[in-house]
Parts: sequence; C-alpha cells; structure tokens
Amino acid sequence: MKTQTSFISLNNFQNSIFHFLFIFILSSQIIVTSPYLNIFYILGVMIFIRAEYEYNWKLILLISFYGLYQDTLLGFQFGFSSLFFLFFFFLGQISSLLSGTGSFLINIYFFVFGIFLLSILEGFFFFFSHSIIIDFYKLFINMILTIILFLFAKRFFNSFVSLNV
Amino acid sequence: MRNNRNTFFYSLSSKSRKLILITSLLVFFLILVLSRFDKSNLSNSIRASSSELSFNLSSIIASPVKLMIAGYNKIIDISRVYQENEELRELQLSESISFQEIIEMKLKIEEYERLLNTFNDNEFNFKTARVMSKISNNYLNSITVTSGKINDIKPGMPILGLKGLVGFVDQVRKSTSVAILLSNISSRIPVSISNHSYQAIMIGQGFKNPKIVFAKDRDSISVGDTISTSGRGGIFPPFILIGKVSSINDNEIEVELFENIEKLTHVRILEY
Repeated sequence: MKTQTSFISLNNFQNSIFHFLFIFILSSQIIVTSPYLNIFYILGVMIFIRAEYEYNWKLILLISFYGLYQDTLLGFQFGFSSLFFLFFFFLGQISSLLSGTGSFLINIYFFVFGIFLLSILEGFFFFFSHSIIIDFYKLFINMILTIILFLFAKRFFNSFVSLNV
Repeated sequence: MRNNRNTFFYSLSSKSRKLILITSLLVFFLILVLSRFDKSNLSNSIRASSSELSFNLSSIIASPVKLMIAGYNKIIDISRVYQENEELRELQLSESISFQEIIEMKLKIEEYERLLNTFNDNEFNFKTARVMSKISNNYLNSITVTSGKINDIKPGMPILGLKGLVGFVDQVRKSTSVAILLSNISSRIPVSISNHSYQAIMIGQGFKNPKIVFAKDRDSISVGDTISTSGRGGIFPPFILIGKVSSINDNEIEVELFENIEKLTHVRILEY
C-alpha cells in the first residue's frame, strides 16, 4: 500500500494548475518583454508562495529542472535559473518555518529581503563584469511591481487553497 | 536493498531533510555557475541539442500569448494606417521631388565612382528572414529569425533592418538562428562617428541606449552625429548606418538607434 510522505495542502488539480501556469509564464518570456516587469521575478513570486505549503521532495528536483530548461531556452549560464528558483524556494521555506503559513507580514519581509538582495547582487555583477551601472529607476519600479504582485498572488493563492480545505 | 531505498525516500519527507536537499542543490548550482561550466564543450553540445527543442516547445505553450499580442498589434496598426495615409497624401508631392533628387544624386555618385575608378565595396547578397521572437531580460537581448544552417547562415553575419544595423548572428540552428541585438550587453561594435570618421566602440546596455567608449576624438563629437560601422576588424562591412548621438554627458555618449527593434518583423542577413 502506497503511503503518502506528507500531507499535501494542494490537491492534484491545484498542483497541475501551478505547474501549468509556471511553465506558461516561463515560456512567455520568449515573447513578452518589459523593462518595468521582470518575468523572472514573477516566477520567483510563484515559487516563494508555493514553498510555504506542503510539498513532495520531487518538487525541489522539478524546480531545478525548470531552471535548467529556462537556461537552455534563454541562453543563460547553466545553473543560473535553478539557483535563482531554489533561492526563492529556500527563502519561502525558511519564512514559513519561522512564521507559519499564513503569517502575512513576515512573509513580505522575507520576500522583500530576497528581491533586494538579488537586485544588489545583480547590480554588482553588471558593474564589475560589464562596467554597466544599473538603471535604478527601472529596478525600483520592477521591485515595487513585483511586491504588489506578490501581495495579490498571495491572497489569490490563499483563497485558491482554502477551496480545498 | 529495496527497503533501504524506500527508507531513504521516505526520510526525505521531513522538513529538515528537504532543507538539506534544497541547500545541497543550491550549492551544486552555485558551483556550476562559478565553475564556468558554460564554456566547456559538454555544455555547448547540450545547448546545441536541446535549445531548438526547448524553443519549439515554449513557442507552442506560449502561442496564446503570441496570438493575443499579434491581435493587439494588428488593431493598433490598423488605427495608425488611416492617419498615416492622410499624412502620406499630403507628403506625396514633396516626396516625389525628393525622390527625383535622390535618383539624380545616385546617378551622379555612380558617375563620379566610374571617373575615380573606385569600386563599391558595400554590396553584398542578403537573405530575408522573419523575426520569430524577441528574447530579452534586462540585459540579454536577442531575436530568433527563420533562417538557419539550411539557408547557409553562419555565426557573425550582420543583421539589418530597414533603417540600419540591428545585430549579428550568434547561434545557428537547423532552420532558425539566434541574433544578438546591438542593445545586448555582450555586443561590441567598431563604429565610425560623423563625417570625420572618429573611431570608437559601441557597447550595448540592455534597455538603456547603447553607449560609445574608447572614442579618440571625444571632444569633437556632438549630439546628432551619425554613427555607422567602421569596418575595422573585419566583423562588419563599413558604412552601415546604426544611429545618431543622442546625448553627451560627462561620462557617457549615448546612441539612439535608427532601427526600432521592437517593431521589427523582417530582417536582412548580409552574406559577409
């Protein structure tokens, strides 16, 4: 008899929707481009929120695979996207471990910290390796829009999951 | 054996085990990025075999978005057509005079070239290709075009729009190619500025306009100067128009490209 390793908050249908949406948004990067909304960050939002709920260990490997797929698709260095996705997953997991699922404010703090840290690292990387100074205005708008999106997505996800309870 | 394996899998279900797995993978991918695995032959062969597959798969998945954007663009285009048509009617008379002048000048230049025994070194065959998609994040801008190995496309070939240089071919696949745009941060183009041919290098800056570096006669360059390829280094043929100087600050000379890359539907690939 097959026993479940953990109680999953999302049922199969909800899980499928998550993965479909994730792949859909990931694939849309070959068409949709905006200097003010980084789709990479949107994927980070999705992973961060998903990490707060119960998951199977296969999800971690799947997210790593999505990262490699994105690297192949967009021509990034191998491992870069997986690193990015897993960082948000790790952050989401730590956030939920410390605060418990549903603690809104601490989640926001963690998420803002993650986005801020990545932006600083991105800025340093481009400055030292390509002598390019990041456009802080666009970066700031990017961060604000991503955080606003996080608030909406979090509420939507909470109500979506509550349908299952 | 089977029991041991199952025990291992089930033990991963605890939160601490999962965190260890995430951390291990994070460290693994960090090492992968820092080790510059991307420069190895193995990485190149993996990328060559999988990039076309992943692109085709993503094109299918993202086709609804593509359709929506295409539909939206069509509506915008149609609304512009009427206005442009009216403007063109007004311009028609003066344009016809300008056209006559251009033809006259072209004939004169050809005559002078014959007299000076010069040859036209800027004539190359080209292939027309359709732009399939534009891939970009903040700094890595590229387009995918519908010409590949079967069309004899080779890496490094210059890509032109209607008004000027757009970029150059980077990766060639079977029936498609990926071209790096001038705005890509890895783009480095030797350029010539103004009629005095001041030599410099133009580098991409992502969503910001490209900038000019290593300009020898920096003080002589002014806003509005035309920028074209210099032909130095043999990467591009000379005299291909790129853009004009849009601003000069203390540290930077910015370039406004002639070609609006966002609206590109077709490009010419020079056989150079």
